[in-house]
Amino acid sequence: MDAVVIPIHFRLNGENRQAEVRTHELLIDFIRDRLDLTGTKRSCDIEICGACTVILDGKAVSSCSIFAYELDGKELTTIEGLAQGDKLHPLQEAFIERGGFQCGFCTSGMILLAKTLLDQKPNPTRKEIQHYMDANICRCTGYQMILESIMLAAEKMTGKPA
Amino acid sequence: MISPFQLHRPKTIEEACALLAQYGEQAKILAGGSELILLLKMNLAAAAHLIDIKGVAGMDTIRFEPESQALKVGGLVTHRSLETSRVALEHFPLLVEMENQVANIRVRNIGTLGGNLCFAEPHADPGTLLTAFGARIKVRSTHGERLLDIRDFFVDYYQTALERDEILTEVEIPKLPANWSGAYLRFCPGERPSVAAAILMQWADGTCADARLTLGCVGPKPVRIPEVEVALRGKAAGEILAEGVNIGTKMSDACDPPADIWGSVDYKRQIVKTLVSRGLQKCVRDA
Amino acid sequence: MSTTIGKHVERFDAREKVTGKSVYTGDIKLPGMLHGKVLRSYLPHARIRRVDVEDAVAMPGVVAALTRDRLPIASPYYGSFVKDQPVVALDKVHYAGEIVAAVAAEDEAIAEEALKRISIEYEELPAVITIEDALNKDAPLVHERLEKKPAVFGRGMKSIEHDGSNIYFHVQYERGDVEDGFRSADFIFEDSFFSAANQQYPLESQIAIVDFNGEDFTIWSATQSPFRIRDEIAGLFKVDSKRVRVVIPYLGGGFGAKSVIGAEAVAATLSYMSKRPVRVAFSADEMFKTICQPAAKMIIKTGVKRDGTIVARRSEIYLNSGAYSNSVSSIATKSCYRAHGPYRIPNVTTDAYAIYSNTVPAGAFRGFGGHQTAFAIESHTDMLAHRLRVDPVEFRLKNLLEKGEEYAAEDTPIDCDVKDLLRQLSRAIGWTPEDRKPQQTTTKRTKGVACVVKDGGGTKKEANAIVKVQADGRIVLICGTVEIGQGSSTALSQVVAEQFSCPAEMVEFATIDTAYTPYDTATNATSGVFTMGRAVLQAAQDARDRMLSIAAMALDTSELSLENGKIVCRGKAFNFQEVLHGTEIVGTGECKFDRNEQIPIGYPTPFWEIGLGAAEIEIDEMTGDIRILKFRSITDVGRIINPLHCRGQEEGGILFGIGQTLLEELVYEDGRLINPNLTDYRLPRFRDLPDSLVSVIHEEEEIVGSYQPKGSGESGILAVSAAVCNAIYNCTGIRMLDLPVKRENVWKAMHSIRE
Repeated sequence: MDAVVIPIHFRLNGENRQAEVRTHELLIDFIRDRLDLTGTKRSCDIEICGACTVILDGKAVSSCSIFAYELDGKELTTIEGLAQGDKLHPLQEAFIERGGFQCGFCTSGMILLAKTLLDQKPNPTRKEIQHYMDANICRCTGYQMILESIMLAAEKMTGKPA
Repeated sequence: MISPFQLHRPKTIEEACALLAQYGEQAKILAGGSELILLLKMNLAAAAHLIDIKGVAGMDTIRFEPESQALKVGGLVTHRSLETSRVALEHFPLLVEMENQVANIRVRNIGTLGGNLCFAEPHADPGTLLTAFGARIKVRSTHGERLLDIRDFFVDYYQTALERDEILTEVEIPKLPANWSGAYLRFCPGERPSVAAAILMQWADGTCADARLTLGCVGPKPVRIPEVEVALRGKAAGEILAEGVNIGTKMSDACDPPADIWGSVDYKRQIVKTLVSRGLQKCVRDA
Repeated sequence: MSTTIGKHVERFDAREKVTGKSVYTGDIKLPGMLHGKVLRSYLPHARIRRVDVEDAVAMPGVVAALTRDRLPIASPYYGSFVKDQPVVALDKVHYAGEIVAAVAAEDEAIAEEALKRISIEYEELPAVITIEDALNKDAPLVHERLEKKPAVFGRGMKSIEHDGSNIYFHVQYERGDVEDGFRSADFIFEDSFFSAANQQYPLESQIAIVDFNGEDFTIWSATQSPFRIRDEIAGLFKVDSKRVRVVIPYLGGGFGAKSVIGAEAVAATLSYMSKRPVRVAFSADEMFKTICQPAAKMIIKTGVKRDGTIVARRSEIYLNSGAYSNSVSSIATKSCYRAHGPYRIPNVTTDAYAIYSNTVPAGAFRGFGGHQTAFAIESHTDMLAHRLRVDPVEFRLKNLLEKGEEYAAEDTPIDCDVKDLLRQLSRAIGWTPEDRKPQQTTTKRTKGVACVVKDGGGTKKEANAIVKVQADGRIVLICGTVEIGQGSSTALSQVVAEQFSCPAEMVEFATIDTAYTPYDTATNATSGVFTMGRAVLQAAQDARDRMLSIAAMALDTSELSLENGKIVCRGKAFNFQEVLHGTEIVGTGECKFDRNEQIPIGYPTPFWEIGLGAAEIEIDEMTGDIRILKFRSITDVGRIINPLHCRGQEEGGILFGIGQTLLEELVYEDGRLINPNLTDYRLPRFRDLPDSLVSVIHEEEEIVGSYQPKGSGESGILAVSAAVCNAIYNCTGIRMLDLPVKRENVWKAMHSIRE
């Protein structure tokens, strides 16, 4: 019989970690309140907007609708894990250069979602980016500048123009 | 907020069934959680026990079984796995095309086909296409296994034929013999599809030998319209193309879509007509 | 040669935001902080007979419970124009979703559980939901008479009282003689338009943390109006405003949803009762039930001469204010002033009404009524052109005001060549006279244009700024313009940097804290870069001049120049701190507008916000689906401070316009909102981007005064709806008079024409 508190072992942004989580604890609350990583944001809370997107074992998931215990044995990447010290990830650089963010509330989720796309498809077409990224909502930028940021990032990462 | 629950993580299907039998009404099956967790958060469902079956062996594979000529999809296969499966693409490209449109990539990454079917949300994609495919649903309990025709599996809004102590383990999709062309179309003005149509047509010498027309999202469960299917048999491709809109009208008259914020009954019927006639056009083109 | 103005400067918040380090109100944790949750009415109009919180209060972990019976405030009302909104419902609830009780508990789960143990007994009352319901002769009154602030205008504008009606504000603008004008017209045409209530939906919902320590309130809030919040809270608790301190972290968007009290009043009261910090965070669902844009009905009647000259216009605008007044009286005033559009019309009468109903309170929304009047005016303009069989572009060119021409008596003249921009726009979309004829083919692709000008910069906005040069040479800008995403901190810092001829990175933007930040009315009305920009410019010039004086004395010469962040003298370059020798410099600036009774609104329009748009669309005849293939927009920003910001604001605004036109609508059934969530409220997504979207940011050379930048926070949204609806007409001959344009209605209209 499983207890109400579960020990978990997982990798967080490249480091081994362990913790104890309650069964009903949601991943977003674990990340924000227990790990003190507040870059992941809650907005709609019903898996639609994508502000809470994190990467779990290489897949973009909605942390507002997954239990924290699911972390056990898995690899979690939050926005805080993207930069290497002072060196920004090409996606982060590109979002800055091309105005892919304004208020920043959707940005963590947006960048992580984009990372999963580029990890699977290093040189997507604009239409492919649009279809994939349609998962997440931005209210500020009008989307076009996000598309251009991702295309620039792809260029930076592969050396090939989009 | 979600109330605390006792978590169980069975490693075998037998264990899972035993737990479900033991806890009955107090327990809910958790697969991907993309529906259940929302219900728990909104207090529309409660569970003192959650049986997380993601660890159950043997339920997450996709394989084509030559003996039975059927694609066997484990209940725990995620939409994303199906969407990117070479095996599925080889035998059922339309299935891959449909899965690519389900919800969004985040939901597809964790949502399972089994979970989707068991939730029986009328505004969903897989059920409609699988009904056209004539899929069979394998379910299991401590009493044994059953194989249900998908048309018997869906009962009503959010209701399936699953007994209290049964778990969906596999979806079987019989391969269509050669000379079939198909289309899956959906109308999705909001988050979930408002109307969906799945059409499969078998051809012999430019004539329709068999047809399966299924409508989804326009009632409690996906529905085939046998009168229209029968009427199509023997018709030439050109005839079908010319009569596309009429056939669509017959389909829309045969269903009873509910009005909601996405459209009145008349408009939904118009969408049915449109999706069907366009689906028929595609089937003729791809024949 | 500018050093930073017009250049792409990396935003100050850039690294923070892309690395997840930017701190929003929800990221702040205070020791001992309680979590507040709110109970909301499900009835749209009801008398409250009984509120029972005994079971909730008895729960371990519940520290405070707020109801009308447990209310430590004598006069618990707030509101900008009318103090009609109570912290918690008192004798009645006025809309479904109104706050009826609140609890503060040690954690969220306990707070939520406590709400379940509160029982309320209601006596249902008849409710009015639509504008028509509310104006009905026998309509129940949403509110009995409440005390209002007097509305003072200038010449040509006045407010009219209505007693015993749900109309709580009526403003009228008049010039010339509209009846005379109609008599002299060859044709008179009248059209009626409606745009639905929408939800602003910034990704971050309203949230506040209030810490009352027994004497003072400290508030962290996602608000666009720090000083208004300070004054409202001070007013509620009847304390001096210096006892309330508001600190602003980053905001996750605003769009007007955070212009007035959101969560602050409940949080402050719970903190006052518990003497502990309390955080109240509204969920997305609650945000839908807190604020919206007013649904608007506009009737326009225009008299034209045979040759296409507009001679008279009478307009009526009805705004559904919802259950509370919020800022809808201001929206009514602005809508009233915008109703005649940028056209030369000598005879005008416009009446605008703010009307109570038992629905979610309406308030500021990007465009502030301007996008709703624009839909009506620019659709109507096309309709006039078609009736006269004139090209819609030519018709506009004939009647548009010239640069330098008066919009209204004594007000700031039009500051840009709108006609030239319209010509540029028609070239950009590829407009030909053929474009106004219904298509013969079955693929229906056509174009539509719209040309909108609205007053920008706010009315009587007061902005103050301080620029400090510290002893260590760092320049600090202290002003109250909130960074809601628009890039204001960076842009205003660029204005400072320009005066010091230094890289923008040398300027630091101080956290907004009402304890020391000088007063600013609020962040809205596209006023950041213009109004605050002037104050900042003045403060920067002041600080720079003072610094140069000191430098002159220190270096014993007045032959100094500023280059690249240093003071250059006789070929030698000095850091600021070398010259300051431990002194600090403080420069101040302000931007205030003097009252002018000759101007209708009573204060001058700071600048004219320009929003031109053209759409090429394709209609799916069988489903009524509208796809925007191409969209071209032009706005005039006077002078670009930061090119990326301008484009971001414009394109963001255009997607708002697409939402308003095709997607967004708050739907009521039985008096309550049935779509307070993203499943059923359709926000624009990536898929809604036009296939080709190009926004042109024009820079008109000289405008009012010597400080050139204007603003474009609301320009993008203005022209979209009319441009799209004009294109729909040009294609089908069908006129869409309601927003959002529903596929079903397009299909129905085309279907009936076919028959």
